Formats: sequence, structure tokens, C-alpha cells
Amino acid sequence: MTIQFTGSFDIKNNMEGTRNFLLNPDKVAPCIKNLTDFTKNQDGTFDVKFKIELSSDTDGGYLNMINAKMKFILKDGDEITLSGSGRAVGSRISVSIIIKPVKIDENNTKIEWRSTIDAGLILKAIGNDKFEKIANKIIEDIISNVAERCNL
Amino acid sequence: METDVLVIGAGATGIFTALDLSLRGVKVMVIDKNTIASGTSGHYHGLIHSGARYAMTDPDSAVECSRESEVLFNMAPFAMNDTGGIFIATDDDEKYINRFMDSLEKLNINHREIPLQDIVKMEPEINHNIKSAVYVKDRVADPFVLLGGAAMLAHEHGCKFILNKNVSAINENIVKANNVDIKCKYIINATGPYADKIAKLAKIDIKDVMPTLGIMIVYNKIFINHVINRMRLPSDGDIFLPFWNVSILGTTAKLTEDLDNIVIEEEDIKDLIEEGSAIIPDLQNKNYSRYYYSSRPLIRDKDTRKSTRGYTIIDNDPVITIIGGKFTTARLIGEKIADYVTEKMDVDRQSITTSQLLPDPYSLVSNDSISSEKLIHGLAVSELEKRLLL
Repeated sequence: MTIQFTGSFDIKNNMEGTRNFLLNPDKVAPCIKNLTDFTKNQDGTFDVKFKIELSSDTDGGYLNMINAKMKFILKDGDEITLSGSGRAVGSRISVSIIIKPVKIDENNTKIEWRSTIDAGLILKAIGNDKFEKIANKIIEDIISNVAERCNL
Repeated sequence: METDVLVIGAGATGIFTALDLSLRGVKVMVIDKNTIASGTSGHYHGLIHSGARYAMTDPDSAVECSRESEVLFNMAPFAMNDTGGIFIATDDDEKYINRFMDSLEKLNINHREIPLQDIVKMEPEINHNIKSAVYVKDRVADPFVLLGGAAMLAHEHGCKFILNKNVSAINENIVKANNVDIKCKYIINATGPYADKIAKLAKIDIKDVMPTLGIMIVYNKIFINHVINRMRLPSDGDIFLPFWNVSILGTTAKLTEDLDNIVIEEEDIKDLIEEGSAIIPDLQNKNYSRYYYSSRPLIRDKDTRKSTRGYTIIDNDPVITIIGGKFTTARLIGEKIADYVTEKMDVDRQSITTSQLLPDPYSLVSNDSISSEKLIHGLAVSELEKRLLL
């Protein structure tokens, strides 16, 4: 079962600068919150390890913080595609993010994005509502980091 | 056969419930498909929490653990190793230091900061590039000895045991196990991650159990003197403990759907060792002797779908299902369940488990001429079964 997310946000950078940022793993990977490891591979893929806080601090849950390991590949085109797969808490997960930079003016670019996440057993374990909240938070953090780092 | 209360499951929750009820004079019987502590309880890492691990995330559990650790130690000192524990903050954990210390202070959990220069002498093998170290009163328990002792005391107070028998049907107040029918007033379903399967026999649908696997890696050598914990939110590979003559690295939370077809992947072990390397930097170069797992009966909370190590009582009279719980607080959970059942039975007697001294199941074995610990353990299990089945 997959969950889809869509959204858009503005970057204070021109089209070329924005595209260069989004196509550079060295710049994109550190935008993931709680990134613990990042390795670029010779085949153009890159590996990331990061931690996800599943429960809020007051939940008292055992699965407070889980480790995720994923391999990503970036593909260039009219739309930039970031696809990844990996595992967390023993469950396979996969993510596909399609990013479309749209020129607003010479100094500003709008980023339209849509993402499909297959979280396997994690979704089954924590339920749609909770998963959506967690995924939204991860996406918000990434967007905020991208916006901050890509802005001129 | 006939009894007032039939407890299904001879793990920590089942045994402590049976002990509590027996001591209150209730007629109790325990049935298990294997033997004492042969499931989740017998396959956990052995840590008796000081409470510090839950101080930041679950203050109630933390206080309960702190209190129950002392209670269990007084009840069965021979089942425990009073190792003490150390929480270490690596670079990644630095952001939790203040929160962790504040939580311990607030909850009055016994602790003291260790000067970083002392860590080298106290624990030569652990990561010395740390930001903070705090001593707490963690202990290590042998689950078989502790629960075997509790079972022996329950037996002395009239509790009957039916071991190595599978429950195959539950019809109203009659439980069928192999060719035996057991008539009872109440059935306590204390089968941990199998609770939904047992409930199904009574046509009860329980969807709250979310089994996750806790994988443990065993090294045939002692690397550490204390239980070493990471000072962060509970996560994978953040406990390393000395379990008598071996060391155990734990643990994971691996989601699983089918408890009868569990596969531990090479990647699970690799990931766990990688996480554990933050505690023992040289861990990747050490050979482990084996790994094992236990299935945790985590609860899927219906409202928030959070997973928790608390416990829930689901009453489908006459079947009372217990889901969740942790080993350190199993005696307390047994007391609460016994309170619940005795209230239904109109038995006006309070719990007296905290004042008991448990017998040692190893006292059933004369081990003077036996050198193999495995053999002694096997004999103790066999002698305990013989004693309980009398």
C-alpha cells in the first residue's frame, strides 16, 4: 500500500541554480533531518542512513526512534526524479519523488513536487494517520532545509 | 480437571499472576505449550531496568521500573547480578544529555555522574570519545531462575502446572489441551505475542497485538563490567550487557507479520553490530557466538496507533487477555491482574508478593560433579518440571 503526497514551494534562486542544487547528491542528502551517514557510489547512486522519530517524546513508546537505510538515484529531465529503496525496522520501504522546477522570474523558482511512499509493514504497524503525520514532518524538514540551502 | 483461574502462558506475566493469586488463596492452574520461561520472557536480554531508559519518554514506566527492580532483587537476589549500569552519550547523543539528567532528577531515579577520566578504568573496552557518563542501578537477571523460583513458590501455595500441552480449544469456561478438559471460572490469556491466536480459540478478535522482534547477539566473552546504555531515545543496538560469563548486545525492533515463520536476515545482524559499535568501537572485529530473538508483544493503541510497552487488560468474560508489559515490571502487572480478577471473584485479600523470598530452582540440582553450565541448566529445567507437575 502506498501513500502519496504533493506540494510546492518557492526558492529564491534562478532556474539553473535550483536545478544544479537538486541534482547534486552532496547538497540534497544533508537536507534529510537526522542524517547519520551518506555515501556516494560509483554507479551514481547514493546511500543514506537516517533516524526517524516515530513517537513524540511523551508517547512512552518503544519504537521511539528507528533507523532507516536507503539507496537513492537522481534522474535528470524536465522533471527531476529521486527514487530510493531501503529498509527500516525490518520492513522494506521505497520512495519516489518527482520534482518539477518552474521559473517564476529571473531570481525565483517554484518547485512543484509529488511523492509516492511505500512503507510496507511500518504503515500497517502504526496506521495511516500516524504515518502521514510522520511522513509530512520528514517532508517539511527536507523542504525547509532545501529552501534554506538553495536560496541565494 | 477444575480450577478457579486458569493462566495460559508460563512467561513472566503468567507466572507472576499465578503467584499473586496463589498467595491470596485462589485456586490457580498454569498451562504452557512448552515450559517455564520458554518464550519471550526466557529469550530477552536479561536487563532489569533501573528506570533510566524510560526516564525521558515514559516517566510512569521509569518510576515503576526503579521500584520493581528493588522489589525483584529483594525477592530473588540469587537470580540477579547487581552489575549497575552506565549511560553514555556519544557525539550523536549529546543533545539528550540535559534532558536525560533533568528527567532522572525529576523522577528521583538513583544516579551519579561519572567523571569521564574514570570511564577508561571502569570500562576499558567502551567508546571513550563520549560527552557524558552516568551511573544508574541497572541489574541483570536470569529469567529462568527468577521465574522458576516464582513458579516453585506458587506451587508451594497450591498452584498446579500443566506443561508441554497445547491449548487447542476454548468453549465458554472449558479449556481443552490435548486430551485434558480444564473447567475454570476465569481464563487469563498471558501468551504475549500469541495472545490474539489464543483469543481466537474463544472466538474473540484481538487486533491490538503488534509483534516486533528483539534480536540479541551473544559474545562468549565479557567485555564490560556494567550494563552499558546509550543516552538517547530507545532505539536499536543501544544496550550491551554482561550476562554472567557472556556479553549480550541488544536489541532491535523488527516488525513481523508471521511469528511462526521468522527470518533473521544477515542485514539485521550487520545493522545491530554497526549500532553496537558506538558502544564498543572494536565490536566489528569480535566474533559473536550466536544470535537469538524474542517477540515483543507491543500494543497498537487504537486511538493513536502508537506502540507502547505498557500493558492492557481486555476483558471478554471469562477470558481476560493481557497484552504488553515489560519483564522488569512483570511482578507489578501480575499484582494488577490479580487485583482485577479477585475483585470479580469477591476475594478480599491483598497482594503479598513483595514480601516473599523466592526459592532457587538451581537448588533442585546437585551440581558438584557437573561442570557444564548448559547441563546444569537442562537438569534444573527438568527437575523444576518434575517438581511443578507433582
